[in-house]
Amino acid sequence: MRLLIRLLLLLIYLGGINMAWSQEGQAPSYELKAVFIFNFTKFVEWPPTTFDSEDQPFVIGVLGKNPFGRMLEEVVGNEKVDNHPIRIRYYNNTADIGNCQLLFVSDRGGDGFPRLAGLLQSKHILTVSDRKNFCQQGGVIHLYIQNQNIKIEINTENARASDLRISSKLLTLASISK
Amino acid sequence: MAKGTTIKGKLQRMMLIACGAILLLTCSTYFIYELDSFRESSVKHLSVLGKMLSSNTTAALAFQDKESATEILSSLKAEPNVIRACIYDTGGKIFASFPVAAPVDSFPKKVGRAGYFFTFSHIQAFQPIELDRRTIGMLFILSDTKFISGKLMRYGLIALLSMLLTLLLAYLLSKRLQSRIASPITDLADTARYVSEKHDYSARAVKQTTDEIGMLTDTFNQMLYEIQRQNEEIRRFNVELEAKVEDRTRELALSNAELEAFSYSVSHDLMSPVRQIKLFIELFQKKNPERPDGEYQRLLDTLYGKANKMQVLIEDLLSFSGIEKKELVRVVIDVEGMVKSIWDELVRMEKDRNIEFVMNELPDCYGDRGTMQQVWQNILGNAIKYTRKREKALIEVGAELLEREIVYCVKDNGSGFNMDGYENLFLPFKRLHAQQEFEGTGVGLAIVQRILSKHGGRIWAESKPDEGSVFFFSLPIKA
Repeated sequence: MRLLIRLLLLLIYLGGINMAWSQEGQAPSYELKAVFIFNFTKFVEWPPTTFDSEDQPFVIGVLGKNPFGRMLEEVVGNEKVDNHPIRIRYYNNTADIGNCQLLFVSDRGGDGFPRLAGLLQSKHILTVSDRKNFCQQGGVIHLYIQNQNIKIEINTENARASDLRISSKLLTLASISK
Repeated sequence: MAKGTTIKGKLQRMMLIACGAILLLTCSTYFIYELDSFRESSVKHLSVLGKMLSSNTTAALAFQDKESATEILSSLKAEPNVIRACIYDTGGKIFASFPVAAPVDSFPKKVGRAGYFFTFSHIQAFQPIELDRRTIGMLFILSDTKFISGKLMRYGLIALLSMLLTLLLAYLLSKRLQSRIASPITDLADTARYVSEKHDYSARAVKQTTDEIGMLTDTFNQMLYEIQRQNEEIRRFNVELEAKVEDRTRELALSNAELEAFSYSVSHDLMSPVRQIKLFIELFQKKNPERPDGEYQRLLDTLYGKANKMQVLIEDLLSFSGIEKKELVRVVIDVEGMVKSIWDELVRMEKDRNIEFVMNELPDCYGDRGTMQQVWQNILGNAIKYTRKREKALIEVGAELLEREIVYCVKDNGSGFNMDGYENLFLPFKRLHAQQEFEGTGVGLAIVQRILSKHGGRIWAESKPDEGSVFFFSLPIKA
């Protein structure tokens, strides 16, 4: 059953890509963004104090309106970051944000993000978003579309402020902003 | 002597072959080692390269960044041996390639197993691209091995050159070194050849070394000395022997001549008294024409017969010893004519006998007419005499012309003789039959043998008692 869904999702994903490429200016599927989000966990190192215990879950949060549907769950599934099982939380308000390591800030969410930035940095949260000027507003990773490809922009200072170490491999792919 | 068959040549060749074999083995061992280490090092190099590239491209692959992946792959430009490379995604599709313009079908269609494979002139490498222990793609690198063959070629050239130099050195060295072994042997062989050709056993080989060859030289010289010594001894013996034989022969000839002279003079001196005895008996009978009766007359006849026999004996003896002194006057003799006239004369006295005479072709011979007549007279006379007891006598003469001599034969069906007594057959005064059976002095065949041997011929016979005999005699053909 799960396999079937995955297959179905893959088809949709492929269709999405095709659609993205055929329709000028349209964003590629959030499926790809979900994969990116998962992959970011492999190229970013959180400070050792992040987790209290070995099996504490690694929480990926989505702030605002969820654009992924069930895709994040599908991509992340039973994956782990090191030994920490990945959990997904959806937050409507910033106040809800508790223990979280990676936060996707939805484009369709409220405009309160810049105010949040300082708080999130202190919590060592890797912030990802496809909002415009995300990196300039205190975010770490900005996903944007260029030539129908998803491109990565990283604000290294914001990352450093959050005490996050981003792999040079990832940095070479990204455009760096300060 | 061909160069290859001398010890010198063999030694030199042996050294060169040994040297060459060792060199070849060493070179090829080293060659194989080099090839192996070349391969190993190139695989190691490629492996490091692959791991580095795969590690560098994980992010690009994870974030679908083809440009970055292509850019990272383009760093392979610095690797002169890498021909092509590409990254496959998990679906087996080519994600990025090097060179950028490389056609898709120039890469393997199917992603192979991870690892390194040698083809004829290439190394293929499949290096998994892993992210957090999960394979997210596969890096393919196709590397040229021309540099290996180039390196090996250079190496082979150097090996060949050094081999040639070594062989040249070995040749020069062997040329010098072989003489230490070969020259004593060559000297020895030269001495041996000289000795065997000139029969000069006083020659000696020069000892040059104290090894086995030196020992051989010593032994050889010892042998030569021994041969020389023995030769001298034999020569001395021979000279002594010759002198001794000469002495004996001279003595023998002297005593023989003395004996002959003695017997001749005795015979000669005996002749006249015997003749006188016969003469006086005849005279006595003439003076008493009326024959005295019986006993008296018989004694007188016997006396005359004995005197007569004595005369014959002395004549034979004189003739026998006279042959030695007689000069042979050799002429060509018509043997058939001679035999015919002798036969006619002989059978005139045997008119009452039944004798069949067969004469085959008899070639002419070259000899002394008088003595040869004596020979035929004797042998034919014997044949007639010894067939006396046959009702029908059969006598056949023939001849055979051989290469160097003529062999005449006279065959009869007479009483023959026992071959046990053959050795006495041609000795004077030796007789094989009793006087009462067949009269004779026993000098005839001895005379015949003397005549023939003086002519350079021989006589021999075959016989069986009561079956007859064959007498053969040969004369050399006139040269």
